[in-house]
Amino acid sequence: MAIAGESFKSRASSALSDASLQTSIAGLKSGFVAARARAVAALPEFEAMRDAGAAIKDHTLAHLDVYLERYEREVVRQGGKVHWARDAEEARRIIREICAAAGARTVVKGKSMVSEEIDLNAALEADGLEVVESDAGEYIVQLAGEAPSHIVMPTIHKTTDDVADLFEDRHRAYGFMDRAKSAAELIGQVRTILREKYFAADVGITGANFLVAETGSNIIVTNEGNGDLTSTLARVHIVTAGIEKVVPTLNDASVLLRLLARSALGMEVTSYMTLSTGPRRADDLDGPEEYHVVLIDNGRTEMLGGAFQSMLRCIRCGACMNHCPVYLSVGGHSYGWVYPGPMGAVLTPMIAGHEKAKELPHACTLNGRCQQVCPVKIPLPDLLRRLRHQQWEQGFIDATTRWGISAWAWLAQRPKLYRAATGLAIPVLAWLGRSSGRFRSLPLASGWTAGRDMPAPQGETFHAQWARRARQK
Amino acid sequence: MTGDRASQTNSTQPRVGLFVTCLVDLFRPGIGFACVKLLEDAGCAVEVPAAQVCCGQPAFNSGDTDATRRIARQTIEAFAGYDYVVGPSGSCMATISKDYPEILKDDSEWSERARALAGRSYELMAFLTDVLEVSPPETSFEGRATYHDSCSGLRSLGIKQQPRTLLSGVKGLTLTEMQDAEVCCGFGGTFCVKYPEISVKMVSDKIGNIDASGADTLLGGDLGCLLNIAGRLKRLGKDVRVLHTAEVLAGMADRPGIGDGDRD
Amino acid sequence: MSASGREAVLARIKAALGNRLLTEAEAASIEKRMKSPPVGPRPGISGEAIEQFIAKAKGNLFTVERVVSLQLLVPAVKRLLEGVDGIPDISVAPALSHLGWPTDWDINVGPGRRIEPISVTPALAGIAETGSVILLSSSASPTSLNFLPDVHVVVLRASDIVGFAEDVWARLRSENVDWPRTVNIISGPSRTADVGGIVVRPAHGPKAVHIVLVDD
Repeated sequence: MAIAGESFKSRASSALSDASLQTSIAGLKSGFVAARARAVAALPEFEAMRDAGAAIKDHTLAHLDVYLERYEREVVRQGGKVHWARDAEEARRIIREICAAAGARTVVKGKSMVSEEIDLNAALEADGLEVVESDAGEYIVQLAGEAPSHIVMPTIHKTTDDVADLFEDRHRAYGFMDRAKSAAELIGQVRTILREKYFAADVGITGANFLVAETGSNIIVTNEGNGDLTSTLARVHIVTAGIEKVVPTLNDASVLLRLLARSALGMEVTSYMTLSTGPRRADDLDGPEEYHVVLIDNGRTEMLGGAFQSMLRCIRCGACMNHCPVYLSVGGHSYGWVYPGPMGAVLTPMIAGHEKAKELPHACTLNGRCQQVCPVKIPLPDLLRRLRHQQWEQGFIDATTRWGISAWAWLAQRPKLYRAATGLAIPVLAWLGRSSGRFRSLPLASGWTAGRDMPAPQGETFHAQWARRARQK
Repeated sequence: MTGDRASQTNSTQPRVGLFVTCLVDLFRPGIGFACVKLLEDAGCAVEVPAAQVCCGQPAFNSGDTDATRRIARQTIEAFAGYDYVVGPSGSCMATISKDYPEILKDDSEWSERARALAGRSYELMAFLTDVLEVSPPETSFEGRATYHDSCSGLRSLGIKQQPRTLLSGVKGLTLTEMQDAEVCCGFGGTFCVKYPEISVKMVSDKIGNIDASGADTLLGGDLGCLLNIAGRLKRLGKDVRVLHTAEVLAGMADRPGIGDGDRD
Repeated sequence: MSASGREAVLARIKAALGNRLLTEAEAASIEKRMKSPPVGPRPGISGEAIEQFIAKAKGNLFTVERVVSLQLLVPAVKRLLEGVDGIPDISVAPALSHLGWPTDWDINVGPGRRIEPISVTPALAGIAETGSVILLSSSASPTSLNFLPDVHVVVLRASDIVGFAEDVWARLRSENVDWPRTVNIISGPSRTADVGGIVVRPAHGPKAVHIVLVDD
């Protein structure tokens, strides 16, 4: 998926005035935040699990080459093939070649954020393939020509009416002539249409929540069962996964699965957790004839071994965005790329480069709620601050901010001068504002006063009063 | 040296250096004097080193780590020799106690001093409750208040119960918890002027929760948040008083609230 | 095809990690971790595993029926079909095809079909922690039967109920089985909330899952 051109600020501005979007994201707040809180409250071991989850990921990342090679060995032993891609372009090429070799015409996809990251659908469609997303949410955004606005709930920005409008327009081709009125009817249409696609699919592409080195398995987690039909019925199963998805053993995966369902949805488990390992066995009655895994770097090794390594712990649960007051104000599309919210504000500049995502690290109050709920304890505010530091060092900070901060820091290092300047200015401001106690507008402060009054200073500065008090003693 | 009152100190009193914070210095000195009163009532000798300005957080959060280091060293120097450093802001005190040691950890000359300062630096409410273990002060305040948990104090320093415990002794005050008390008000330092629309949306959500709580007073422990919330409340014409917890606890809440004038 | 990609990515990883060789101690600790995987923190199980399994399974919107013998499976499926017009047309996993299914029914023994009213498949284990069932693919139990039917009947022996998924992994390791193509951990019917946040059942898979719990 290409990175949106216009600024975060202008996208956020439209999002704030989009009433339908605001209604939709309000539901996130009341629904998933509350559900997660209940799930966590019901589990005294949750904190210990977070520690264990972070430790598993840290251990694996510290020996990532060892575990990936072990994982590869097991996949091969089970008859599968492992492909390694340095970047998005190479990943797309590998997948296109597998599809071409299979003589594929129809590709069905399970939900995979990394496939969004490498912009896979467009590449396959350019080769003349029919590509159908099977997760109901992904199907809807694909049909609408949009991007997912949340990594777990792609359609969180859409109301039932929005979907009904879309299907009324687009599902006539499948014989659904009347407008569906309920969510159940709309999903019924998706079920009917996709059932045919699964059977027609030459290639099924899924993501991976985890890769298990012990067994060479990939694990996918769904509630719909779409990923399973995708990976079972197509002739060829391709798994797309970032290299950071590997964990050592099934026991490690079990720890992380407990964290994932609770953090993502506030549930103990999802309906389906599936381990796929290699192609169908010789005497199996179903399953794919070929099994391919595409391991994708695409910027991940640049995070490995450095200050940003903890970002590679991410298990893509979405809890950070569900709890982010900025995400909950502006929605996922404002972030402009595949990954929104706090994790996206780190990943987008890390993968796509600062120049493509200059604003994201700043679009955050550093309030820390994301870190508080992160199942693998990623210090997201700290990482965002580090990105700001990189931007400062590399000259990506706009001149006004840079000048303002530098001037202020200069003054802050000269206490006497600072005291003299503020000792003069503050009483004047206080006097001007003494009657109402506030200003409706102030020169150079329009950012503040556009929506807020500026409280007036109470009087002289503390230090001026304290100095006088000391002199009087 | 301004404010050097060491001569009055008797040897058993803890010597506390007050970190005023720049917002309190400029906008609401009364909070600083409330701190002094609370600390002195608790038996501390309070001094205000003149060489302090700001903790450096605006530079740190904007990415200018070098400037932050210089300001940190100045602050460490200014507060050398005190038994404790205490300030009326979880945000500034978290910068001193969490961020200074981190940004100076590779500086052989300063890393130890940064850690030492961090080890004796406290946010006011936490200091009174956890270190001095004072009983809730006997004072009175007529009002139905709700408390906003500022993010840095809450998440970096674990300040949650301390102000509530102290406020529980205030006669005439009822404290009603609002929905989402722990959710950011949208201040976020420079965020509030860089992204005013988002910031105003966030503070408007906060005000919705304040309204729903039925409170006539909003209390908090960080002036940045309080200026933001008061600024929006006043713009919306809401009749809610905004005060720092220290002002109420020190019995110094008889003056106009934040953003209120003589005529309010 | 992508050998160069492999070497390049591995080289990047090694470089990022400092290009150092594992110490003997590290290699031994990794080996040990792989051979006897540690078990992480887990929720407690309240009371008997089977009781918690049943309670959690019902919480997951499974229906659960307890029978004293596998011979009662066919009558149990018959009851599910009460009120269905016409000749029953069901799919049965080969593992369960010998149980004396009525000769006047249409019985598909094989992978799932596009239209699949009911399937009956065997579970390897039940997990008390979450009320989940674990199903393995094999020539005797095709995976598509777990996802294509409207109603999925899962046959689980009571003695196969364990506390945690880790217990199942330990069992599979100790039995040294050939690892199956697919392991399904199923914890409820198929559902989605992708339209308007409203939970709809089913999405793509079964709308109902009925566990026949066989005492042995």
